[in-house]
Order: sequence, then C-alpha cells, then structure tokens
Amino acid sequence: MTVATGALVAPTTKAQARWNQMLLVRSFHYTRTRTGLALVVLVAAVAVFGPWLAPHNPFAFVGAPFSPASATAPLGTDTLGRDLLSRFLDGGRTILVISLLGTVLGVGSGTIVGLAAGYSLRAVDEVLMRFVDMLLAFPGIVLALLLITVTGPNLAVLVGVIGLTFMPLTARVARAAAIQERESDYVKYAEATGRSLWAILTKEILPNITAPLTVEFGVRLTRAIGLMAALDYLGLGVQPPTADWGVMIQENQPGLTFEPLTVLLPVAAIVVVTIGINLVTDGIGHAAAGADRKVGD
Amino acid sequence: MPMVIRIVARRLAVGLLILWATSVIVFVCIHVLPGDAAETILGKQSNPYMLRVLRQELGLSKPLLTQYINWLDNLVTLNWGKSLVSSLSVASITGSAAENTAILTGFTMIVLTPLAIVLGAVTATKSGKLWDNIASLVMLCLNAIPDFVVAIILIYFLAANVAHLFPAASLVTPGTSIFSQLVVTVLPTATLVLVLLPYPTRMVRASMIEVLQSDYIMMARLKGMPERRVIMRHALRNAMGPMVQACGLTLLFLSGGVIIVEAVFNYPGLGETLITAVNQRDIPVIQVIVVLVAAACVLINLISDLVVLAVTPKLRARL
Amino acid sequence: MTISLDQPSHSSALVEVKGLTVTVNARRPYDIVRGVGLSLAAGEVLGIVGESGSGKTTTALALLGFARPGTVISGSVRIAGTEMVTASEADRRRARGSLVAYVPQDPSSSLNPALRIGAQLDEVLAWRRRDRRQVDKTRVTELLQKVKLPTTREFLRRYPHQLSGGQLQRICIAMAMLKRPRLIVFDEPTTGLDVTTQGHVLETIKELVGPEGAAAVYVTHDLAVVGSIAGRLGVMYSGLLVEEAPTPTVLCHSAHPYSKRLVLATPSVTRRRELHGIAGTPLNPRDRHAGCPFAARCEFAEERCWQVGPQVVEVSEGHRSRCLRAIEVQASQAAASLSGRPGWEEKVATTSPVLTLAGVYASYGSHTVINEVDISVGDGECLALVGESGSGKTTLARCISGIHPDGVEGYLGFDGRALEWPAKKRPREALREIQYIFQNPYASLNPRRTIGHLLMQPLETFGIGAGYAERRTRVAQLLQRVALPAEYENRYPSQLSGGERQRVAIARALAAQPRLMVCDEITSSLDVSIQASVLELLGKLRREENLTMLFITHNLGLVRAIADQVVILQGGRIVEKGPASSILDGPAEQYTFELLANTPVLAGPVGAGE
Repeated sequence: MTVATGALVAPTTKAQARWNQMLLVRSFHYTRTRTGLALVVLVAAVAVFGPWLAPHNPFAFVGAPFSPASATAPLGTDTLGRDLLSRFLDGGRTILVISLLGTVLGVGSGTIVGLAAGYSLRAVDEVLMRFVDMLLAFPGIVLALLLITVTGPNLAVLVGVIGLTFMPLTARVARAAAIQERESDYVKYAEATGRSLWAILTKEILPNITAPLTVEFGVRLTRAIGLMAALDYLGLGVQPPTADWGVMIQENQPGLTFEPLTVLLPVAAIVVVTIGINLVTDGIGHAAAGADRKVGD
Repeated sequence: MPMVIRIVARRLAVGLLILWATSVIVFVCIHVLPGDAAETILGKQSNPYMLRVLRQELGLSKPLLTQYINWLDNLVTLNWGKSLVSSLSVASITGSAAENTAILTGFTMIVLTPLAIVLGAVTATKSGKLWDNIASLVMLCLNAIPDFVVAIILIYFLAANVAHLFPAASLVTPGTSIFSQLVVTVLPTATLVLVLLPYPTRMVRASMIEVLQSDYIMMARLKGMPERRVIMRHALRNAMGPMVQACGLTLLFLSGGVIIVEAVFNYPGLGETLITAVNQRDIPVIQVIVVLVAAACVLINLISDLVVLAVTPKLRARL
Repeated sequence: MTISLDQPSHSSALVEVKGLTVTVNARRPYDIVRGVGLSLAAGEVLGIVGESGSGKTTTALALLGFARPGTVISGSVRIAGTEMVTASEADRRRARGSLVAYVPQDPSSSLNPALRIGAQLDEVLAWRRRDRRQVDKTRVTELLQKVKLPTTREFLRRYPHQLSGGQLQRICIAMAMLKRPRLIVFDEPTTGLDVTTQGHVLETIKELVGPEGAAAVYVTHDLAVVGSIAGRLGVMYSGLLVEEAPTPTVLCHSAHPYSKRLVLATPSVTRRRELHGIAGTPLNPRDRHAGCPFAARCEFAEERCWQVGPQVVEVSEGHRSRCLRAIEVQASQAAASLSGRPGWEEKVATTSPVLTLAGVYASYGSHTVINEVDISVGDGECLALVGESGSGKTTLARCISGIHPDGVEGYLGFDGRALEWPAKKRPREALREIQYIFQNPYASLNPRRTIGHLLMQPLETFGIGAGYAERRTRVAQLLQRVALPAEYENRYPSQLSGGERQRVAIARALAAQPRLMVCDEITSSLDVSIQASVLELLGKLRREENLTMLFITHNLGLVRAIADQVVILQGGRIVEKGPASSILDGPAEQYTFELLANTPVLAGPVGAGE
C-alpha cells in the first residue's frame, strides 16, 4: 500500500499545503471523485456560462405556452411561452452562488468557533457550545422564514441565514475533532517547545482536521442548494419572473403531464450537481481514512 | 439514584435556558430588526395614521424590555392573540395544525426508524458486496433530489397522472380530525420517509461496520457464539448509541422537511400554516409557530441526549 | 515429547498441527503463516515467540479455525481428534469454547462494553434460553474462585469499564476455562499489564492449566515471560516456525541465528549486559524471495541461503531448526562478534546535578498525583524512573517538561537555576535544553508534516543554524546520526514503521541540542529487537553528546541494562532511590522486592548464576 510520493522534491515550510494537495491527489485515484468532479464542473459551467449562451432573452415570449421543441425553442417553451433553454441556462447562477457563499460563511465561522471551543478552557467551551445549541434549535428553513417575514425575500439575508444554520453543525464537528487532536502527543510536544497558541491551532491542529471539515463542507453545500431551491419554489427566494431553477419547477408544475421537460430539466441540474458534490466528498473521505493507516506492523 | 436525577435535571435546566434564549431570538427578529413591525405588517398599504394605530395596538411605543416581558408573558400563558388575517385565535389555528403535523411526524418516524435500522444493519453485514453497493447508489440519488421534488414525483406517479391511488392535495375539511381521512397522510409520509431515509441508514451502517470490526465481536465469535447472536445481542447493543443520535438528528431534519412537504401537498399542518402566514405577514401566527418548532427541537435534542446516555453504560461513568 | 513435521510419531498427542498455512486473498496472494507444524501433549505448555509480522497471532487464531476476513487457512489442526481446518462452520463454532478456547491480548477491548460481565460469562455455558435453566452456575463460581475474583452478585453485575486490566484478564481466563477445553490459546495475555499484575496472571495460568489436563499455547514477544511458563518454545519469523526446542535449549543453545539474536536483544534483570538489535528490517511478506526470509539480516548467511528455502534440520532429539547451517550456528559462541565499545557506560556523577526536584507535589484537580518527591540527576547520568500504572511517573515527566496542565508545587532546578513549572513561563533556553520523547511514536509526530519539516521545526524554534540552507544540512546530518536513509526527509510519518518513527522523535529531540532528554517509555510499544536497536542508538548518542537522561519505564530489565541511578515510585511517592545496580541486587523496600520477584527472569546464557 503505497502513498503517492512521485513528485515530491524537497521539504519546505509549504509541506502542509502539499499534504492537502496529496489528499486531493490521492482522492483522485478513486473513480468516484473523478466522476463527481466532472458532474460538478458540468453543472457549474452551465450555471456560470449559461447566460451568455442563451439564444433568447429569458424574459421574452417566443411561442405558445408549453409548446414542444421547435426551431425557435430547441427545448420547447415554458408555462408562459418563454424559451425553456434560455431560462434554464440563466437559472443556475443565483442558486449556486448563494449556496456557495452561505456554506463558506457557515463552515468558516463554524470552524473558528469549534476550534476555539475545543481548545480553550472549560468555561469558554461551555458558553460557546450553549450558544451553538441555541442556534441548532432552528431548522434552516424556519430561520429563513422568520427573517424573510421581516426583510422580505432578500438574497443577502439568505446568505446570512444559510451561514447561521450551518455554523453550529460545523462547530460541533470542528470542536470534536479539535478535542481529539488536542490530547495528541504532537500537540503536547509543541506546547513543550513553547509554541504559541495561535501557531498550535493553525499549524498543528488545523491541518489535521481538514479532512472531516472538507466532508462537512460538501454535505452542507448540498443542503444549502436544497434549501435555496425550496425557498425559490415557495416564492420566498428569487422572485418570478427572474429565471431560476427552483422557480421554474414551481411555475412549470402544471405542465408536468404533457411537457415534463420543463420541470425535469431544472430538477436534473440540481440532482446532478448534488450527486457530484456527494461523490467528491465521499472520495475525499475515503482518501483521508486511508491516509492514516499505519505501515504494516 | 441521585446521580441520574442530577444528570437529567442539569440537561433540563440547560434545555430551558436554550428555550428561553430562542424566544429572545424570535422576539428580536420580529420586533427589533430594521423594518418596524407595524410597517412590516401593513406592507405597502401603510399610511401614517394606520401605522400609529397599529403601533399603539401592538404596544410598540413602550420600552423594549417591557415589550419583551409582555410578549414572553403572553407566550407562556398561551395568550397568543388573534390572526391578523382571519381573526381566529392563534391558539385554535396552531392547535389543530400542530396535531396534524404531529400525526404526520409520528407516522413518518414509525415507518422510518425500523426501516433505517434494518437497511443499515443489513447493508453493514453485506458491506462491499453487490446489495450494499446498489443500496448506496439508491441512497445517493435519493439524497440528491430536493424534498419538494420527491413530493412532485410522487404526486405525478401516484396521484395525478400515472395512477390515481392517492389524493394529490390534502384537502381536509377544517375542523375534522385527520384520523377520519388517513389516506391523505400516505403520500406526505412516503415523501418524508424517502427524503430522510439516506442519513440514518448511512449512520446505522457506519456504526454497525465499526462495531463489527471490534475486538469484542471477534471474541464473541471465538467463544463459539452463533453469528445471529453475535449480531443481535453483541453488535446491535453497541451500535445503539450512534443509532439513537442518528434518530435524533433525523427528527431535527424532519422538523425542517415537514414544512416544505406540507406546502406541496397543502397538508393542514404547522408548516403549511407557517408558510401561508409568512406570505400574508401574519405575525402573531408566525411567532408562535416558530417558537413551537424551536421548543420541539430543543426537546428532541434533550431526549436524544438522555437516551444515548441510558444506552451507553460507559458514558455514565464519565459523569 | 517427540516432535514431528509431517507425521505424528506420537499418536497420543493431544494437539497435532501439520503444514498450517494462512493465505491472504489479494490480487497477488501471499502467506502470512507458512507450513507450521507442532504437536502438544496434555498438560504441556508451548510458547510461541515472535515479533510483529511473524504471524504468531494469526497462528494462534488458526488453532481455533478462525481466519480473519480476507484470509484462508489450509493445512491441518487436529485437537483431540477433531480436525478444525476442514470442519464446517457449525462444527468449528461448537468446538470453540468447548474444545479449544482463546484468551485475548487486550481484555478491555475484547469484552463487550455494553453487557455485564456475569452475562458474558454465563453465555459461554448456555446461550439458548432453554439451556439456561439447566446451566451449572457453580462452574462459574468455581472458576472465579480459582482466578481469585469475587463471586458476589454485585461483582457479576458490573460492566467491563468498572474493572481493572488485571481483573478483566482474569475474567477472560475464567471464561476460557468454563467448558473445560482441551487446548487453551493465550494470545499475549499480559501485554499492557503491570509487572505485579502480570505476575499474578502468570501464577493463575500455571495453577489452572496443568490440573485441568489441558494443553496450552502461549503466544508472546517477551522471552523472559514465556521462559517462566512454557516447557517448550517455538520461534516464529516471517510466517515460518524457525526453531522449536525445550525452553532452556532455545535460550542457551539455540541453533537458529534469529533466536540467538532475539535472546541477545532481551534485557535481563539479573545482570547488566549490552543489548544488541538486529540489523535491517523485517521482510515484507510481499517481497519474499525463494530463500530464507532472515537472510538479509543474518550474520551466518551464505550464497545458498538466498536461493534455497531453509528446510527443517533435526539438531537433536526434540530440537528442530529451519536453518541450512543449524549445527554450526548452535556451536558458535553468543555475542562473540558483537563486542565493541559498551553503549551504555556506567557513570557516576561528580559535578553538581543537572536537574533537581525538591518537595514536589502535583495534582489533577483535587486529586494529588505526586506526593513529596525529591530527585536529583547528575551530569551525564541516566536516571531510571520506575513505577507501575498510577505511580505518577508519566505525570512527573510531564511536570519536568512543563506540560502538566494542572497544579504543581515545589522546587525545580535546572543547571543551578530555578525554573517555573509551566512551559509557557520558562525561558527559551530552558525549553531547548530539556527535550521530551513520547511513548507512542504514532502520536508524537504530526501526521501532516514531512519528516524533514518535523526535524526543521526545533531548529527554527530555537534559532539553531544560520539560515535555511544550513538548517537543511543539519536535518540531513540528523537523519544520518539516527541511521535513517536521507530520502526519509520527504516522507510522512505514516510511511515509517514504529521503530523508525521513534528514531525520528529522537532526532527531533537531538536537533535542539539538549542537555537533558526525558524519555517516557519510549520503547514500550516496540518489538524487542527494535527496542534493542533504539537503545543502542540512544546509548551511542548519549556518549557522543554527553547527554543526561531521565528514562521512564516499568521494565526492570531495561533499568538493569541502561540506568546508573534508579527511583522507584508508587502512588506518587518515592519508595526507594539510589544506584541502580545495588538496588536491583538488594532492594531495601518490600515494594521493590515484590517488583523484582514478579519480574520474570530470562534464564539464558547470561542469566544462570554469575
């Protein structure tokens, strides 16, 4: 059981970056990671470059509602007669960007809180974790609904909501991992040689918990996408007539029987990107689990 | 057993504290955030006169702390006021809605829990083989489909287009109990079960796999115990702790998911009521439902923690 | 007690093993146990000795017909006429517990944490509900008394985590004997137990096995332990049974190079002698060649040893060896070729002490762990700190290094200056001069750092070396000094073996150019021969750098081998202290006397009456 050593040359202080790189490199050995990444890139490309490739203006009417594929509308029209393809190409950005931003916010803040709680005194730990428990009492959608009541459908607020919902869950994971690492001998060694608290947290402990955190990130991201789509579907996120995959599912629902593509296309996009993210995190998780195996004794 | 009572009491106290803190959060969101509550309620139709009257009625001119105390007092004494839209008492609206949601949640858990445990345990014993891989793949796909989409798919196949086995929308005559029209709960329950199945199944599977690789399982086999006994008596016992935790977390996810599913099916539960209220800015209803949901979540956490403690003898020693 | 390879020459042998082979199902299958043949009569105890990777545990499990997932057993294991290898799964299950029983290495993880111990004992006798009523409860009580455990209902209702390691192991022994098996397989049952507890467990085993008319196989890596309990020994290396003979023969007149070296690497508590490791590393089973697996490390190796697999040579009656040159090997003198400068020179300190502790108390919360300890370590000395678990020795070591998290009181003097207890409050120089090496080589190196980076760390922290280039040179030099290949600079700890990681830990400590090295049981988790290598290295470095050492251990044999002074700790208090040799020869305190009495003596070429 060998670990990839090929391209390593000389040790530098960037050894940590190379370990993470090694983790990613190693996770590519699994087909699932490669497949997952391909799926994610595919959907992301559609979302990012789509608006430029759309043949029509997503708001323009090009034909009768729910008409089948034709020369003007390669995939048919939607519930109001707009080009399905254009609306589909236009509809991914918001969901993906907001979800990504929210997840980054949530996982980032959660890591900081979790690390702080895991490595400090009992009292600080207790206070932080009670605060976290408090936030955990609100399922994401409830918090979102609560805030939307007050502010109205507001995308910036949604980023904050997603962040707030994910912070406690990530904090728990980060804290558990930090507590486990804190008792390790290599941390004790760092203490014995007088390294600062900051150095220990960032250079000793953090690199060792990136694996579970990366998996967390992936899982949270899929939840964020689901949440965004749901809010859009309920009309509490992106507002019609803006093109958005969640909105499209809702507005095209009456046409499910005779023009299923109008609903299935945005559904497929969401499903594919979620599966992709799941596969990638699965691959990383496997790579990380394999990395810590000891050389045969 | 004073020790046990102490643990329970401590957890209860913390739970209550958290509950109180959540009430503060709800209050802050509604009354303190920018966007005066009265303006929010009246929306675009506000004019200064109406604003003044409403503010008076809502007591918004009093100091914040007094407002909070009044609010908390009303909340706890079940004096929840009236809906701004229908003028029915919030208590009656939420009462029946809560009952319906509880029924739906109950059915879901009754189906989900044994299913997840069995699936998880079976795939664990067949880990790596064909059935496990198939199951993993199915779970992966199920996980990827958003909740409301699962609902739509089920409606398409079983209610509206392909077959007409179940009603597409849960049209329940207001005032009648759900129990008289149980068929209405089938599709929503099925949706929730499908949506929530992957997570606890995976947890049970992972915990079982870990247990099955442990030394004491090998020792049980070396003692001559038959395989069935090894799994049922030795392995499951130890996998229970993580299973209970997974159940608890599933319940938490359920409390979020039920809202959307109710919306799709028009099921008259707390979720649907909440969404309607949000659309109509019916603040008295909104705040009560949010607090109820938060309270339920805190309770679920508490019970889950306690059950884990009860099931894992080792943890009790550490306390 | 005749031994045979292919045919049983003694037809009344209770246990017959022939050609036992365990193969791993990989893309290229390989064997972890190859062609092992044994036989045992009733009442006999056979010791199987080997280091990690020798296949001894796999052999032990195979005696119960148990194959780990992904492996296949072939060959024959016949116990009282019942064939275990080819039997059906149901038959094998029936045999386990009743015909052949197993005592595990780690009782705390081998007993189900969620079930009461009484239940776990009872189920061996009767796990079907209908059998339970007829079960002979007195058998359980009888055995519990024999292993000197309480038989009260209260005790039986406990969970495993409520019992000590020694108690748990005795439960496992009782559990194994419940159904009067004909063969009991002990798999390193005293590893991880205190010396005193180990003594008791060994006594228990001796008392039980003979009278019950069973045969026993005792698997271990500790020659001293097995010497006290087994009449015959089998030595395993790389899946092969390389030697089998009566115990004194293996220890004094071995006919296999590996056994000889193993004896030389084992510390003896009765006489101070040089410990020598074995050059090279164990062969990876996948890299096997046609010849003898020990060839690369063997001083007797010839051309043909690489080409021809070693056949079994019957050296004398009851003595077999798998070596082409077995007769010569037996005749050659032990350690003749290994003399040289003694590694661990005995030193008596003349100058003022490097480290002084006076009136030290340490606690965890309200619990006092160290109670009035006074120690002084002279310049260049090696002080051994000895104690069992709970004695406070690790706590004391951590206090000295400044990483004890709680309250410490008392005087700490280093090189004449007083030091604060917490590391945070100490001057940089003091942190540099006291270096700590941990017990667990898997945990003390950050898994996410290359070896080079790990060695660079202390250089940077303490400002040794003027600039990056010079530091890299130093890193290379350090690797050389601890006899690790230069290319290891780019490897990660997970790619190194336990012994190699410990060498890295030593190099890391050395990098700081310390005066005092605190070694906390640094070889406890290593194989005997690797322990000897590490100690050889440490001895050499100590001499070259004039290091002062504080060596924490529970192994009195090690104390005899390397220590100048010794301090015996019990329950946080000093029981006895003074020159190591005099205390080991004639202890003044009862506790020390008991420790020595419970330490198995290696009856080898150097042990018997000097």
